[in-house]
Parts: sequence; C-alpha cells; structure tokens
Amino acid sequence: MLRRLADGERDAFTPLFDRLWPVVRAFTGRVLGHDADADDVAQRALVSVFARASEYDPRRDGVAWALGIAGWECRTLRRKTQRRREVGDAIEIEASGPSPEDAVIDAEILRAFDAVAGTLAPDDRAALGIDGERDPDLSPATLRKRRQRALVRLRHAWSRLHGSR
Amino acid sequence: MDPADVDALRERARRAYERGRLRSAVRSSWPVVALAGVCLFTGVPSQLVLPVAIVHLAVVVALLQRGHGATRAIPIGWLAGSLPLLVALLGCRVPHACGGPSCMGWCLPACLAASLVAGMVVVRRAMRRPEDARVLGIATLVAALTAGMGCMVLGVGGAIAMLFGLALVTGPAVLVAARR
Repeated sequence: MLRRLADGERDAFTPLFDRLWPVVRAFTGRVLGHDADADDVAQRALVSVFARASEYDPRRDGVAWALGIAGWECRTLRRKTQRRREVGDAIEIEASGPSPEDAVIDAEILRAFDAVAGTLAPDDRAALGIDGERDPDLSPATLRKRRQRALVRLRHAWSRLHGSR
Repeated sequence: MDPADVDALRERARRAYERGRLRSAVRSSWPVVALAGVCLFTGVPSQLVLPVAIVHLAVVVALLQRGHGATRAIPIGWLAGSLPLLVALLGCRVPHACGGPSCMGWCLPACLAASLVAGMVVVRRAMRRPEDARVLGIATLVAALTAGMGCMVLGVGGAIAMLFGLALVTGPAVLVAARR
C-alpha cells in the first residue's frame, strides 16, 4: 500500500492510514509509556510518514520504515525533555553511552528480530552467525551462498511477522 | 483516541501527503532548469527558450505531483528529448555549420531524424507492461517539450519537424498500448 501511495494512488491513503495508526500508536506507547506523550508523538510521526510517502523506497519494508520515523520522533521528544530538565536543574549531563530511550528502542528491535530469527532453520541461523557453530569445512563460496539464502528467508519471515508493504 | 480526533489527524496527514508530493515534484524538476540554462548558454534567444521552459517546468511538476507512472516516464522523456535538443544546439548554433539556406537544409532534417530516434528511445524504454500507455504518453510529451527548447531555434519549422518525428514513432505505439 505504501508503494501504491508513493506512486500517487490516492485510493491507498485511507486503508493505509487506518492500518498504520494503531501500529504507530502502539509502538510509541510501548517506547514512551506516558499516554499523552505517546499520542502526540504518534500523531507527529504519522503526519511525517505521509509527508515523506512520495520518497518511500519500495525495496524497504513499509512498516519498518514507518516505525523508524516513529522511533526518531520518540528520541526527539526524549532529548527535548532531557534538555528541559537540564536547563531547569542547571546541570549538564554528558551521555557517555546510549541513552535509556535508545536502549528501550534497541531492545524492542532486538525482541522483534529474535521473534523472526526463531522461525529460521538451525542451518540458516548458523549461516547468519546468530547461534550455533558454522561448519569449518565449508568453503567461503558455499558459506556465502548459504548466507544469501538465509538472508532472503529472514527477509520473508520479517515481512510475514511484522507486515509487508 | 476520539474518532473525531482521528478524522482530524487523517485530514492533517492527507494535507501533509499532498504538500510532500508537491515539494518532491519541485525538487525533482531541476533538470528542466539545467536544460534551459544550457540552451541560454549556447545563445538561444531567451524569448524562444523561456516560454517553452516555463510550460515544461509547470507540466513536469504537475505530472510528478499527480504520480501514476510519471516518476518513471519523465526521465525517459528527458533522455530522449535531449538528442534533438543537442542536435539543434550543436549543429545549428555552431557558427561554421550555419549560414543561410544551407543551414535550414541541414538542420531541419537533422532535427527530424533526431526526433525519430528520440521516439524510438521513448517506445523502447517506456513500453514494458500493459499499463504503459500512460507512461508512453507522458514520456512523449516531456520529450517534445525538452526537444522544443532547442528546436525552437530553427523556428516554427524546427518545432514542427521535431513533433512530426516524435509522433511518427510514438503515435502508433500509444494506440497499440491503449488498446491492450
């Protein structure tokens, strides 16, 4: 549907909006926790998704692309809140590693990835280096081919579990 | 969220979508400005280039904003139209090539031949799927506008020769594609 909307088919707008809104709202709710903030950010994110719909690359997964924009909006809000607190307390906080909100978003993405990786065969997981030992006797060319096939299956599994374009 | 608020959000998203398409269309039409610049740089009078360039720009922005295959068709039109444009500019603006009646005797047929080739480029690259009648039509229009910026230097005859060459090849192809 995103591909059709990117191509100018206005008929795809309403069904896509109706499908994306709950997904984006659920995502911001999980990341931010606070309902009012999650609502605001989800609305901004959705408007941003549609503003950029004409630039959507059909080779990318549509839902992941939209959630990427939502994730960026969540991070923006967190940084704004953090800066407001810093100005109020007159304390400068230097972040040495990933901020808590980045960690939550990364954890969400890792959980989603684990769910998809769990559907792959053991050989595919070993080829991708997820778990299990790779057969040391395999030639580099064979390993490369197995990895390519495993990546294709991973992509299909992701589309199946987390929605396609 | 309240249904009324969701409706309001849907409208905001729709307006943002249309604004985004327009912004993207304007950004993507820079080749028209570049081509007009090339024509002016090679000495084509601005009163010949600018009207065609303005119409060209408006048509391209409108088509890109609308979508429906324009993103694929327009670059094909630019590519194909560049050939008669270059022939008209290089062949007919280079001082030694032009002088009196011999200029028209050479330049007009060259513009026509280049337009025939441009038409073949359009047909070859645009016609890949059954719905390509629209793509073919858009590409032909854009090729004509691109070539027109150069061929206008030869006057009305140049423009007619160019249009005739394009139509001769793409016209039947458009009819065949439309019937599919």
